[in-house]
Amino acid sequence: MNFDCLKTILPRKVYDAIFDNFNVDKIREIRLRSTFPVTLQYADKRLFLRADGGGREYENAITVTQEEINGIIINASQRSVYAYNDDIIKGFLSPGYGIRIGVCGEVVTSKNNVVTLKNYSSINIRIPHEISGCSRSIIPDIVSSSCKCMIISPPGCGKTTILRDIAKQLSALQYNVLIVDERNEIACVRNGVPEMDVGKTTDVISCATKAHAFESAIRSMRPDVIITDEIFGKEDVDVIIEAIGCGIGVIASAHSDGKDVFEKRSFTERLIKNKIFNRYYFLPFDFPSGGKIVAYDRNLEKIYV
Amino acid sequence: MSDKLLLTVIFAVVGTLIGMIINKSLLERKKYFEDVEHFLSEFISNLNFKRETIKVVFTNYLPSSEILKKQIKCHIDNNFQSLNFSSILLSKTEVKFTNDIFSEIGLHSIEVEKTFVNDCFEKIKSVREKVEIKYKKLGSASIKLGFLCGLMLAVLFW
Repeated sequence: MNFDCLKTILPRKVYDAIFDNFNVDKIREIRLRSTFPVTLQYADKRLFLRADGGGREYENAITVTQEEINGIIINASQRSVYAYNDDIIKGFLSPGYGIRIGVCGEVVTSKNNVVTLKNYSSINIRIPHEISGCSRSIIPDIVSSSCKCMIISPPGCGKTTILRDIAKQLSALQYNVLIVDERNEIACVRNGVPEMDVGKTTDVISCATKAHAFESAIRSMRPDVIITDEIFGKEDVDVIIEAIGCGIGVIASAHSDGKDVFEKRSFTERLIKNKIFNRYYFLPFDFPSGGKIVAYDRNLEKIYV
Repeated sequence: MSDKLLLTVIFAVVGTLIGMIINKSLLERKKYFEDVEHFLSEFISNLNFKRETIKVVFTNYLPSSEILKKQIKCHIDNNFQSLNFSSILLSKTEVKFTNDIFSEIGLHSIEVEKTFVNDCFEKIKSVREKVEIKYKKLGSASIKLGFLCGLMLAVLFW
């Protein structure tokens, strides 16, 4: 993974503290909040960043100013904030190499539409990871369930990583895989080329809404399986039902803390009632470090661990 | 007599050359502001359609003015940070004005950027019009005036 772009994005004191003291491959998130200490998600630990390393106490932790956060946005957008405005409105920015920057700030509206964000207050830099073979245990089950399944876990537990690996594994089985990468974090396409290994028979539509991407994919690309992340709301479920109705497998992901919580999400009842997905895979908190996936059938009954 | 004739020719030639230099500098200034105006109009169109990054916008622009060519190169070399470009053909205020525009480009959300660039475009347009009028008034006249001044000086020496 190439982290050179972080050098141009991060304030020097933050970059030096991270790269002098930590194994970058284990960093999952860097959180910067205006006037507050910088925190790191380092493997399973949450640490406050200090010039000489990191710790659980925030004394002597490095802090950043609002100007520095503003500078990160400007640098991450290659000094072209306007070019990333559509993404910023949605609360994120993709500077490349699969790195995604979540952005918080003051929302500016005009005629009930969000026009932009200003006075950025905090950002969350998420570092992508590839764990080759992490989906191997469920691939036979995915194939036997016609590739109609959902990956569910809390944020930061590896949904995107496993989706990326599923794409690669299915591609190796000669499936025509299509990734609908709304936030460009699965395949991390840069200048038309995926920066992550998502397989040799995989197509990617990035930075488009699911509705647009699914429609154009179904009409023109004839995929066997569509892989997409973060289902959120009725519109997303509508396009998935359409795709499955067209005979295409869909593998999607969603945020949830567990089966009980997932059942309470607004779209779950519709998915279960209409038996849209054949499998629901719940990722445990410790999935990135080897935790076991729990599988449920189309009625949300547990099948195996 | 022949010395005086030779002196007259020399004065006339020198005067004309000075006039030509003035004419060229006025022409370069005119070309520069026309080019900056053209660059901004291209950028406005880019904002409306392609929304390419400033790196792409600056790198792809082909300036017709030598001054703008140097200024853009300086801006790219400086990684689009604050500009410290200067030119003998432009006043300090003019250089600061365009340096500030280029340094500020790209730092805003799309709506603010459009307003900012449109505002800069209008300001540059008015400067360009003034420079153009000055060139029309003095451009070709400076060569004639230089020639006449040369002759007048020669007469004084006779």
